[in-house]
Amino acid sequence: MLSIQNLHVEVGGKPILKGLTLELNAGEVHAIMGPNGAGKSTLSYVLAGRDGYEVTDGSITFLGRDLLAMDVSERAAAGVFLGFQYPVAIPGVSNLHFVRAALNAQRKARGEAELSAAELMKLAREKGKLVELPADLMKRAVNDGFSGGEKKRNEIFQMAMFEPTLAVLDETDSGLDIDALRVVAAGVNALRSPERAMLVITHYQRLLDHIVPDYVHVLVDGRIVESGDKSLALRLEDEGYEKIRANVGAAS
Amino acid sequence: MSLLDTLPEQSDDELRAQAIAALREVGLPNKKTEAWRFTSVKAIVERALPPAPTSLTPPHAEVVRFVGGHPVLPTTAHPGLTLSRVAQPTGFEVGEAFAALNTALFSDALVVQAKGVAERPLFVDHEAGAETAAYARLRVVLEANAELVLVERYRGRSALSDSVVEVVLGENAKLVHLRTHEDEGALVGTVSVRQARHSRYVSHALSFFGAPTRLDLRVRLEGEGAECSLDGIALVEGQTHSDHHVRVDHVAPRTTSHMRHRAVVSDRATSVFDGQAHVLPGAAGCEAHQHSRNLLLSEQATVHTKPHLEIHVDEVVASHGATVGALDADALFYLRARGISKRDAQTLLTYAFLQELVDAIAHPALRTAMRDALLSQLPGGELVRSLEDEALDFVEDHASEEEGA
Repeated sequence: MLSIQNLHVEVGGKPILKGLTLELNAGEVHAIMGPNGAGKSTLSYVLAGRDGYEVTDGSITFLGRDLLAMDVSERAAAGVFLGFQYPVAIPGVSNLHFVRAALNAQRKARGEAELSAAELMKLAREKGKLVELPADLMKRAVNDGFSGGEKKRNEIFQMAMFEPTLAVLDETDSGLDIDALRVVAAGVNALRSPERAMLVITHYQRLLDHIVPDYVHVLVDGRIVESGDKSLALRLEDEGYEKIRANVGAAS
Repeated sequence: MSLLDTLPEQSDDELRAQAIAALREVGLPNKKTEAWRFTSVKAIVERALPPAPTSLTPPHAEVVRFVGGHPVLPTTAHPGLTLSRVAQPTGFEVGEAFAALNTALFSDALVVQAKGVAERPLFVDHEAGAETAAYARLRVVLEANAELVLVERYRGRSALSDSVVEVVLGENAKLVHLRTHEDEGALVGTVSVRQARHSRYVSHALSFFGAPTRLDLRVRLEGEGAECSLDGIALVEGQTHSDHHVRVDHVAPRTTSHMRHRAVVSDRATSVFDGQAHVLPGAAGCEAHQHSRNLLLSEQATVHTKPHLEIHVDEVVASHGATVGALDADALFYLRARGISKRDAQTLLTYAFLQELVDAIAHPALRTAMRDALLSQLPGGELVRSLEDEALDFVEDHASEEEGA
């Protein structure tokens, strides 16, 4: 589904990703772990198409299409969803209106019929339950005055509404207490499906207790230095990133 | 040649004679005039545009029409209002600069007198000519406890529209005054308001285009407890120029003024805002607030903003502030990453920036009209309209759940 080959990315002239290669198939959940500054968020932004991230080498193919040639909103319509580490507040735009505008823009781009208000409300009620998002949060301005946990629940609510083919979840666990983490993880797990791939980016292992990945990759200094199953995450938790960093240093 | 060449030699009317004398002495504003520093009037002042002649214009049933500055009264009566045309400016203000020019040159004024609460808004449409100057003059007098909603629309492509609106509010009277400046030509407007005890003046002024558009809004809070709320929006693009000069004088104690201005400036356009509140000696216990927020949508766009306060008493609650910035890059990316096109995302955020001032319009139909006027100027404005036109609510769902339970 997603094939990243030898990806090199610079931000402001500084190399961040230095030859990252990764393959995701439908139905798989991959976790990317790594220390701060390894390039985790850069990877998520490059997948979503944010300005200011210059791809100097390599390729990203999504469902057979050149993802890097697509505009930000085109990628969303094609089924790429980015769950933000820091969801943005948009005062003045109601959450439901925003979700409807976004969903209908995606549907329109795909040549599908737009959803009516009644259809949207039915869907919102159903999907809101997944992450226990109360009705008043749906009506308020997007993320405006939301707590950390509410913002992350809102991200997963949107993911549920959009039903993406590929979900990239950037540090979804940051800023969450254990109860909120459980709710968010349950929402994510409910959205696991044979048609959908997920890329879960996290610094800590604790999220992976709740969202159990099929594969774990360790990202250090812009490259994937080790891949394995979920036991790799546990080992990292025990040993820390220093040991892997030292091994990488010794090998190169 | 100069616009002053169109002044008559003299006038039998005392006020007009005063205005002519003042203009001969002081002249019209030029680039050295402090209050006109950022707004060029050269192109207007250098042409001897004649006042528009009266023409036979069919009246509208409900709406007052000003054609070339000449009022045409509606055929239908407005309950609670007396509308009349007067040629002699008895009791009017002389004014300064362009307002004085209007005093010297207007032919007929419209006088609106309100008793009690007017049932419907009064619409006044201004249409001016391409080769002439229009000098529209309105005097709006609200007696004690009267209430009126006045909607003025300036449209077309004038060579020059130089209007003056005088407002006199009696005790406890309330005027809501909406103005849209949609004229693509040169528009110079003066609004002068005097308020008695506990009266309220609520202004919503919206400027598009402008070659240039200049609004001088001056409010004197003369009676204790009088309040004014002055909102302005400028939405300018291309090479256009909007200038809102707003001044409030707190003459009486315990008076309140709220001034809010929002400008959205694209391309090479310019927005000027000068907001002054003067709290005069003896006016204790006043409240004065001035806030200017500006959104620059291009590198070449220009904003001059100057909220300022002059306070001559100790006991006062006052605040002022100004911000200038671009659209939030994080918010733009967030919207786009959700599938909303760049253009629509920009429009959504631009409208969100202005929305507070649109929502402040209490009259629902006028609020919608103001919103639509704004959105018609924003690329992709239909998206915002489609979002707002349909309420998204869970009401039905609660009902069905209750039935089930």
